Amino acid sequence: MATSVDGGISAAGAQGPHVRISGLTKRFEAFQALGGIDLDIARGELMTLLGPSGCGKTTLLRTVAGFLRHDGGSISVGGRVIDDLAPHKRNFGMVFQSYAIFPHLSVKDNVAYGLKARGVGGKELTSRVMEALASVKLEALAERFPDAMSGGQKQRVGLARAMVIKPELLLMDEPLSNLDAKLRIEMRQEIRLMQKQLGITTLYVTHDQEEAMAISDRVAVMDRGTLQQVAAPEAIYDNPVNAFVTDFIGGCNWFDGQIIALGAGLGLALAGEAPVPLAATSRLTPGQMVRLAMRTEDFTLVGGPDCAISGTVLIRSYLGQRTRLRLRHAAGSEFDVDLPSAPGLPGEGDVAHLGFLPGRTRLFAADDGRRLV
Amino acid sequence: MTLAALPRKSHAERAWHALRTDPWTLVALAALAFLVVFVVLPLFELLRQSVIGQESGRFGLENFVTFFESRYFRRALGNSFLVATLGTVLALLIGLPLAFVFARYDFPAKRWIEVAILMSMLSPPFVGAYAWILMFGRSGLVTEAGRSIGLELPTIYGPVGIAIASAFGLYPLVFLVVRGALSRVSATIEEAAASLGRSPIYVIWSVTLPLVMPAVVTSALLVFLGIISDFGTPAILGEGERYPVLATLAFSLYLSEIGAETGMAATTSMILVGLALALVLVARFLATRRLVANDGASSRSPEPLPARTAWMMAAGVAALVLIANMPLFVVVISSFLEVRGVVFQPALTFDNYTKAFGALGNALTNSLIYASVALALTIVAGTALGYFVSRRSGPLARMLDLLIMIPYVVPGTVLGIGYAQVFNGPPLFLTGTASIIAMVYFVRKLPYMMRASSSIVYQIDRNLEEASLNLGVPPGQGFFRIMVPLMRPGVLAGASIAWVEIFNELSASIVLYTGATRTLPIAAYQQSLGGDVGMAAAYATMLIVVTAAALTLFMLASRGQKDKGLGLL
Repeated sequence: MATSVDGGISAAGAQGPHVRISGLTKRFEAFQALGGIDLDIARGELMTLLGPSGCGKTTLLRTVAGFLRHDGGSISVGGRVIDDLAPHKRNFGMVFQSYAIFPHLSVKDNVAYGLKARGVGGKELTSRVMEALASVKLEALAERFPDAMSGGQKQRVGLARAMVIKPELLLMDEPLSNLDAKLRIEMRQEIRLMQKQLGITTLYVTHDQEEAMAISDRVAVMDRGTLQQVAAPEAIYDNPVNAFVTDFIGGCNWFDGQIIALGAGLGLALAGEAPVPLAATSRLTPGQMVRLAMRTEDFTLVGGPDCAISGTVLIRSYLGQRTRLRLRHAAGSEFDVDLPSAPGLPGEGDVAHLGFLPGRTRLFAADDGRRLV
Repeated sequence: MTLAALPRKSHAERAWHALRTDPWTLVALAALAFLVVFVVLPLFELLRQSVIGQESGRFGLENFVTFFESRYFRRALGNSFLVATLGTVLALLIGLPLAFVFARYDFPAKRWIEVAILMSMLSPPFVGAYAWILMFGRSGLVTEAGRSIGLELPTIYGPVGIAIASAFGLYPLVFLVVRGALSRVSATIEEAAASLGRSPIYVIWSVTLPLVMPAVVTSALLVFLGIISDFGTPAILGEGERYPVLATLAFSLYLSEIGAETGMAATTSMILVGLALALVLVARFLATRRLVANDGASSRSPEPLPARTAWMMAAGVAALVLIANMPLFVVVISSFLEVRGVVFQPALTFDNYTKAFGALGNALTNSLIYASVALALTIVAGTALGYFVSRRSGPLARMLDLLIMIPYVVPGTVLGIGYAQVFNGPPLFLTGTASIIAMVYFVRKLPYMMRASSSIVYQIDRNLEEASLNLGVPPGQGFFRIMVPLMRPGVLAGASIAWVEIFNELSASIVLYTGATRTLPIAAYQQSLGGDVGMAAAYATMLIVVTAAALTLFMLASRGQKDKGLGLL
């Protein structure tokens, strides 16, 4: 029943995307959970679905797993449409946030569960189970029962159990969210390493943007049932396509402003500040209301009042290599700035004059949040 | 975007889809059909009969007018209220202090005393009633002893006796519900009140009591419901028609020797059902308003006491529980005592058992067979339906949940009368057969089993089933390989309680039995109602012994299961 990943895949299948999701919609009563998702995942790629809770990422994952039936669109894997394929016939491995380790079975039997359903038995069963347990460093606990195990160990069992069936696609639903911070970092490196070694196509769901950045080939940022941006982690961070992605990835300071004519070109006017000149583009028109997004590290300290923005230092926190200043802007709003730690930084109560690092000013339309510059 | 073009599925389409993709839908539909026939139909028949005038034969409220115009009928209604109120107050007086002491303090032999408390819940209620007669009846042990020193004790027959016997049978309910609530009241809430300068008594009065009040009221309503639904206790201690309550009235109207008054029996049944329903609705309403009394940080654990105080507390609690369990000892001991006339003599003998076994007929085997069949059905159906109603949403699951709970509210006597009315002719002629008794056992206890199994299912991670599916195991197989083993301990616990109640069932089977389908509780009931006191004690002891033996077996079985489940490789 199962075509394994290392089996013979046709040349055509290897060239196209391994997983193709097109026009996928899903509605729960009045709530539109998925509003037309188009997403391709390449063979061997680790694709992360990232977004706030309720954005539809888990719904999308569960639809791919076959636990939910979509209303419209289709999902195909290796060129084959799987919309009407029952979940137990899909040969996808899944790792759950709650681990979902069978409590009445030993570690060994948990891992053997899927293999037995595939008719694997005897020596092959034992050797594959032990091999899978070895890959997650749990050989020693094979005979143990899950109730006496830690969360990290349980999730390793879950990983081994999902990997051992050589799944066509690995699905991971917030697998690390129930683990403590240190273990989370350790586990995500292990997962990434194993995924790369086995070249297994993976769809990974998380709400933790740092985790998504660290583990993914590409990240798909979701909000309110739609994909906002699908790109490599660096591109998502450096070139967010809209205000939502900018704000969700990394976080930043927001300033309201207006585009004005400045000399021959255009300028950005922030409340209480001298206008900053802007490179003219066709997307900007004088009089337009905009929002400026500045990441905390995109500021620089300038000597005099001839600056882009200034503010009174409320709190100065030393964080090692960086020092974080919380400032109050003349217009009343507060914002954070990270500067390299050095002697002579403004202290609490001082007025700091700051410039914008070149190329780091991101402008978005005030009305719909689309990226302008 | 295909959003706008998306058609909304109709209900019919969705239902068809559910049927095709989910095999459980078929199970649920079969259960629905069964419940319509064996729950809805009998009650509907009683409702129909209650609104057809017994004299005129016309549709209307004539029977209800007759009911409320008759002094005798009104008395039965008043009596039901009186004994239920008295009994509930008594049960609270016993249960509340016990609950408080158990939730808050540690003392010697706590676990054993707790087992004893639960035991008094597990003996058949009318056996308790009979024990009170053995002690305080006209020729009771205590009555005779009092008489010998010239002391005439007040009578146990009538409202006070019924209330006392009921309270001693039902106080464990108060104990369990209120102790649960008390242990969920966070210690920090009380500490906060104390830190604001309040005395311990005032803290209990102003903080703890209001927080557990919903639980107290719920348990009181359950006890009240239990008392008005009970048939055996008022029948024995009320001496049948001398002190009628609604349950015994409906019974005697239905089986009256001078021409059965089925219309009035149906009317009385409906009034009883209405009353029970009102109580359950109030209880439900209160349950939804339950206060959140725990901040999650610290759940309450009992405090140890100074040794002297602890021992005194243990002694006090033990004495109270001993009195509550006294009926059991009295019944067992008197079954081995010689009887002269209607008076027990201080001499040991097996005569009562010789006579009892001589007159037993197939009552014991009947009981064992019917109860076993009913229990097997209860376990299978309860497990399956408990799973269905807690894992599926939608109208079918909601309707099943509602229908299954009806027999929980409907007193056994009423259900029995309904069965006798509906299944006494084609297409389903069951009256007088063994299957009608097994069926009424099954239907009456299905709610308990279903609740037990659905509460376990709620505790089992949904992802487990998905993981099984995901690993390539089809849904049906997955249910048996994952859910069944995980549900087993809880189902066994539910089954053991169901067994106790099924094996000792009296109020429905007393309406439905014939000479050939007499059961052990019926034999015991008949003898305790003006029969041979020695034989009655012997039958009652047999009930207790079989019940206890079965419980022991269940406990051994569930322990064995657990080991097996964990040892599987």
